[in-house]
Amino acid sequence: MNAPVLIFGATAVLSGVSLILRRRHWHAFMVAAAGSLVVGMFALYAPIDSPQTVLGFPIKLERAWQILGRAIILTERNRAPVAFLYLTGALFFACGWVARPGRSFAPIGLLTLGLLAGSLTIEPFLYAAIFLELAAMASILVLNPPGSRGQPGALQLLVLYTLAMMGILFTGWLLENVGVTSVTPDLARRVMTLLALGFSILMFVPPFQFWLGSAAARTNPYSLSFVALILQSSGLFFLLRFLDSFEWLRTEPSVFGAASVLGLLMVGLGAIACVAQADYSRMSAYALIADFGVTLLAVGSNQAIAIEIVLALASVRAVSLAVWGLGTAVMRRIAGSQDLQGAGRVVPVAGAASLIGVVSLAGFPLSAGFPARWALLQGSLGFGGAGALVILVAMLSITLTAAAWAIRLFSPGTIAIESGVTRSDRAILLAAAGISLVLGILPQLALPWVRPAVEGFSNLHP
Amino acid sequence: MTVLAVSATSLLLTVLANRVARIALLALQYAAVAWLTGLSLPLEVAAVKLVAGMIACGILAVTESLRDGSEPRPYGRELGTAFRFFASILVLVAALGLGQSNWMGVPDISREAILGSTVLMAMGFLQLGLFGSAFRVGIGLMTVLSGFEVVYSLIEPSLAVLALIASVHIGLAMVVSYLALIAGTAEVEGETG
Repeated sequence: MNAPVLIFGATAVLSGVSLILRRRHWHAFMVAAAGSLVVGMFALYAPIDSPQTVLGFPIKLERAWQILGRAIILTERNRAPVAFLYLTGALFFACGWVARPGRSFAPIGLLTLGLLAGSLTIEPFLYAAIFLELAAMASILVLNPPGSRGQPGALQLLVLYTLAMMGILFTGWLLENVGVTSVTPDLARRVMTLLALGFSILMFVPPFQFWLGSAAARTNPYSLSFVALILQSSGLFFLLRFLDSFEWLRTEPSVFGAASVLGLLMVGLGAIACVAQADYSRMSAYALIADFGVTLLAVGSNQAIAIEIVLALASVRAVSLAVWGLGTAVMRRIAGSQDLQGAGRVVPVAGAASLIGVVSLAGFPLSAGFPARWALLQGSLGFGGAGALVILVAMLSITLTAAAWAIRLFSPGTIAIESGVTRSDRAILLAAAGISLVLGILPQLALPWVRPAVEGFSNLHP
Repeated sequence: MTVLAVSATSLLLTVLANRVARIALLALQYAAVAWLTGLSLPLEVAAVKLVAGMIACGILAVTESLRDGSEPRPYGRELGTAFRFFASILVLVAALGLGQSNWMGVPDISREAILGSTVLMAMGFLQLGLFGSAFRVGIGLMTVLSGFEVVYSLIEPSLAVLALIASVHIGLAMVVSYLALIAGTAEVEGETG
């Protein structure tokens, strides 16, 4: 018996069961949530390669699964990232029935998680690009559930991920077979260009973030949060794995310099675009871009502490996005359109949850996104005063934009009747918002996941 | 000869408006790609590409048969046939020029393979730039990917990669079909790309 077979087998079974139960929303989501939680804990804590006795039977879990001449391996390096994906999935599935993201959310969402887990565990790891492409395809079905109207963001996502896949596959071949080093400048330049293109797409660096804005206007906010989070996080883990594996890349200053510049660009442009949006979901999408920018900025600092900050940010982002998506989806449902004026007044807990999510993405003090930013600013990780200023200005401007939206959401609007928001919906909204607030006050709660994840990138965090 | 075939199919895929004809042309293009791959790899490997391509075309054909037959409403950037034809000729000439040299730096690759790959990628990119419909964007992506595959399967002839890329072709066909079906035309047809 081996661990990857158990993980992927369980994912397939859970996906099938939630597909069968898709008409019973609550049951489908609960099966998916409980299953994801178990798989996530298994990935993180299962004793691998050591003999165990279960119900009197001796078993030994192996870490590798050989398939078509290649291996899918659960190593110490990828256990925490795989667990992160499934635990994030568990959070989103557990609250999903409140947001009503469509019948395909649980089964296809699980399938997407399985494909992304495949991207993290495949060896040689360069083939991860193909799994990421397949996951992007599956996530299009999450963004466009049956019965929805097609929207351009899905096609744009498909085109971008196909281009990224080709770029990264070709780069991988150059790195592994042609022997790129710092003494082969022509090849190095080619590799850098292709890598920059591929990872810019995976990390939603402008101008490759445009699908997010397109999708935000029409897609269920909860589905969009889920897709954006798991795709970007997988891209981030892939980038870290790339840097951790190739010494040439780690020792090339321009790689980290480029990451810093792109990170600052994302923070700055994300904040400006966020302020300029007339649509609430689009505004939040750009706040997310700025948040991703902070992550890239931390990667670019090339400091040991930065990896901890990056991974802590990834974990709190999962909660912030779930809270935002949940609140916004409920408000949209009761408003019946994208015009959310007054929606917060009708269901205050949904409005408050959504705003807590945005403020957390902004990284305002006492929100879940703040401690990681504070650590980044305190560490002055090589991006100087200008970088710190951009982060602070972005934090402030996004928070003020959220405040302006709070006034609109809670002002009198045309929504008169509160429809379809049950007591259990409110309880879930309250619990999700509470978790986000607690993470802002007690950021160390994310550490049990961050520590093993950091240890996995031993070259980046010696 | 094979380069001529991929040039003709990719040009007609860009110019022609009839969906059924485009699916037939895509199938022909997959056959030509399999032939190009077969120049440097075993026949069985090339056959896998052909089979995957035919499955993808089959999925698109089934989708076409499920549609109500109405053509999408002209919307946004709907470029005329003459423009598409001249743009295709321009890009084709440029690709044939670029493909004369081994611009990707791949060792031991035949001139025909690099030429075919360049033509496919260039014409695929042109389709991505010109069109906004799910169906046409999907065919454009499959064309670009076919061009990439001609070269990549030579440098990485592993069975696992072959199977994974074949699944990407089939997945693309499924997603594009799904988007075309749920959109019922106009929504996806007009606003993308």
